[in-house]
Amino acid sequence: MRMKSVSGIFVAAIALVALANGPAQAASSESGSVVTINHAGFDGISNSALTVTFDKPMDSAKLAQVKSLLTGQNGAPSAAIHGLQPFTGPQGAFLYCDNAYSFSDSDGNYTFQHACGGTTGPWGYKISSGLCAEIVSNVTESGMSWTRNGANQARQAPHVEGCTYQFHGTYSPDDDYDFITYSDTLAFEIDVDGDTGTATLNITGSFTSAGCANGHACGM
Amino acid sequence: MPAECEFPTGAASSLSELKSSIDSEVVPYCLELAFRTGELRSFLTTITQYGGLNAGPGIELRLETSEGDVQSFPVWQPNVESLSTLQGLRRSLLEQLESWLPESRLRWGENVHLVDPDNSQQ
Repeated sequence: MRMKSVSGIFVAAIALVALANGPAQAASSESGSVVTINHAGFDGISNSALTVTFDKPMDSAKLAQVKSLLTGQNGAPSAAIHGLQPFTGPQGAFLYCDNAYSFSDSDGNYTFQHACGGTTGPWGYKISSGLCAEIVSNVTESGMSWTRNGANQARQAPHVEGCTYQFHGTYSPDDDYDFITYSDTLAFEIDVDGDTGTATLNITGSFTSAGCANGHACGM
Repeated sequence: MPAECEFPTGAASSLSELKSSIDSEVVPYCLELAFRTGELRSFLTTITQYGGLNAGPGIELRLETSEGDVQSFPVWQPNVESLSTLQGLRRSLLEQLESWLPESRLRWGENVHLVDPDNSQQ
């Protein structure tokens, strides 16, 4: 079948992007009603930023208490990696093919796997039980946006689910040694010991979805 | 599907014109493949604003099935090469429908195949 490009339409539409993107907003990490908790994962593979805007201002002691609860300092697991230790490559960490990776922090758990020689990379994200216990609404996932070797890829579908849902999708195509960056946002309402508010959890990261050249990159 | 498929390439100059083309050339084709008569209660394409990577305007499809499942699907975003042709737009939407339908009450647990890997027409 012969297909004609729609570039004329897209060029015009792309021009609208510049108009839509305004100047960057200054980030406020914490104020009287806002708590922001950042987790930086190993080699930038899996990061998360939880921002909660409470309905009412709090004093500093109360904010510290709430932050402590949300970061799981009362027994929740700290950051952890399950799977073969990633290899630090020239462009982000190498995640070996034929290995199921799992990266956890107090917000949740990001998983990724890629079959050696395969063309896809299934991913998953599950909110931690500790954070889920504070959520009092459905979770609205914006849909995974991602790049492959620097090129924007089609955004994945959004979901609205309960906080115990295993959010998931597939990076496709994802060939051996593709460099992947990703970003997704989960939005929900929260109630921390009677203090209610709205929250967004932004998960981001980057890595090389490694193949198995000479048995080295796959961890042999 | 017609053997030859042409997408308007003339003086289209706005997102609304792109949306019109998607409404006529992409959405009906995909929905007819994915749903049987009576399975789709409603659908609507809208221009929206996306955040995250590749933030900016986009076009999405929102549908509701006869079972009450409601779902949105990104159809087009700027700067995505795979979405720059009619073929790519159709394939992307079909892949999303193929992935989502088995999670819906309408087709729960079914094996749904909408994208033929050997069929370059999609």
